[in-house]
Amino acid sequence: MSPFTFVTLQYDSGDWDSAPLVAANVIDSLARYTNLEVAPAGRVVALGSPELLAYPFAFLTGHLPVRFTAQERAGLRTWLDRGGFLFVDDHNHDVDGMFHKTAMEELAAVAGPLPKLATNHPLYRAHFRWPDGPPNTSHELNGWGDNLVHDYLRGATRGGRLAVCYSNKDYSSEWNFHPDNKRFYAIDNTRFAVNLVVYALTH
Amino acid sequence: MRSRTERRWLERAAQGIALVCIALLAVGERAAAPRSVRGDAWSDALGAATRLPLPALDVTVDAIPGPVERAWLVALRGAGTAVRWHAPTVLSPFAMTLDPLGTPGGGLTWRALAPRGAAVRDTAGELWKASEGGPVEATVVSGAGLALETAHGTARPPGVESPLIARRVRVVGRAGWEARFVAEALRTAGWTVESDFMVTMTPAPVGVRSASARTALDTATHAAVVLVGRDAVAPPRLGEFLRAGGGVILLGDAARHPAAAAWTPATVVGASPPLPGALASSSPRRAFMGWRLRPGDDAVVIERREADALVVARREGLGRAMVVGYEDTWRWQLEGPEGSSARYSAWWTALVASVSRAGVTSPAPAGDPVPLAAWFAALGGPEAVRATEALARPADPWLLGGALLSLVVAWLSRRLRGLP
Repeated sequence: MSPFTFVTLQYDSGDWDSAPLVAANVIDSLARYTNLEVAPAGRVVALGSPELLAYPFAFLTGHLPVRFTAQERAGLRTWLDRGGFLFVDDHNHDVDGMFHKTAMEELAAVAGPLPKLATNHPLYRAHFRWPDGPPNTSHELNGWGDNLVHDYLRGATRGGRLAVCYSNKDYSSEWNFHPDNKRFYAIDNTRFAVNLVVYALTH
Repeated sequence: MRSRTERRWLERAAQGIALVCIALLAVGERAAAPRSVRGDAWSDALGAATRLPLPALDVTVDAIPGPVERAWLVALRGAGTAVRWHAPTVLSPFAMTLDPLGTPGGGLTWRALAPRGAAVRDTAGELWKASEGGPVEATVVSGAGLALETAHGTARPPGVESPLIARRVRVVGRAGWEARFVAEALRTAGWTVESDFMVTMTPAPVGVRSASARTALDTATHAAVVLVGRDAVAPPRLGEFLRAGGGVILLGDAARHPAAAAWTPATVVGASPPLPGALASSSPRRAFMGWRLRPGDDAVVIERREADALVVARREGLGRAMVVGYEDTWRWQLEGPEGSSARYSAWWTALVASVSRAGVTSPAPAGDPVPLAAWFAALGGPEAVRATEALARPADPWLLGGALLSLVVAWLSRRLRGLP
């Protein structure tokens, strides 16, 4: 059985590599909290590349405006249609920011509308339980960005399953630290990443 | 010395005996001669052969006889008539089968081996016409009145209607892409999928489980269970479910699962390497890493890769178990060429349908699905007709001797009396 591989998407525009430690941190959490078979290192895959079809889960982040090429759009559409799960996080945690506006436009064009997910969505109880919706980040609580706490995620579906999950909560900053430093946290703040992966693997 | 009158009576008696013997010889010879019947005079010929039993009957056919004539000839053979047949022209084989799909969408698949010019019809009219000969198959909603019409006859498959089936399938395994994509493929095909995916195994299994997956397995509602990998947490009483008529698919190395030890159709004996790039070929499953299987004594190999058995099935009680010795079949769905998603879903639904038990049995065969094969099975192959040579029997020596002796006696007696 192929192990789960955490893939970070590389796209032509913007700064796709703005959170380079997220992959290692999520992999560490999966190993800590689950018995899933997990590849020990993540991979960076170009969005327009056929290689993406080998990995059904991918993470996309950035601060800067996003404009997909035609090849990237086509590749993403095919991948989603065939069962891919994309987690997109706005590294600015800012609903008026350029990443948010442009990424939402691109995603809507490829995957359709992205309404807010209800707080009882299975994603919030796929492994750990968040009965009130997605966990907040320290960046939101500190008032950075647009000084708002975004108490929702957005999502686009394919055939009844969540195919694209979009976040304004800046998990990219929240999870972008070396896994060894988890020992300084009273509660591991990467646990929601486990839910994302488990949801993708089970729905 | 006997009187002349007595001699005369003796001569007449001898002549009479000779005549009787000759008459018996003639009748016997006539009865032994084969009767030749052409295929366009069945009812008269078979009726006559039944009323006056013949020792042999030669049949010449220019089209494949129907089930009535076939059965009649078999009955004549059973009654002691040597039935042989030949055909002056080649009889083209044709056949038609009708099988329920056994999938949630219902429907039937007809398959036909048809010569050029043949047509498939149902009660609504012509469905298909063969521009070239060969095998063909298609799916229909109903098999009412389905028939394959050819210049050599008509094949009618036994009446089969789409069966009622349990639509629920439980997919059990460690959370991973394989279990997830198998479940999705089956759901896409219309099955109601209960997923039971383990995320953590220690200290106790914890996972993502459909609410209905907590219920006990029941052949009334569940068509099959797919066990993904040998570390899946098998549902309780899986063996009982199987023996009661359920279907179980052991995917990947699940043939090594302890819960399947008593009834697995095959054991894993080694790995079978994948062929990179095969997903785009006509043998896409060649791209999967596989497990070489050693089938059990009563198991049937369903799919091979060269000499290696990769898919093996057997019956256990009323149910069917199957080992599908492939790993990462989900790659077909994601990485295959255009249309792979549909093919992947169709392949999985066919696997599940093959182990699930149809709720309705087919009615007794009433058609003539494989006329030529049935004709050969009933009467054997054709034989050259050399009726007189083959069937002529030597005259009865006792009758012949009796006739000759009687004539000699009569002649001698007359000569002794001075008569010619």
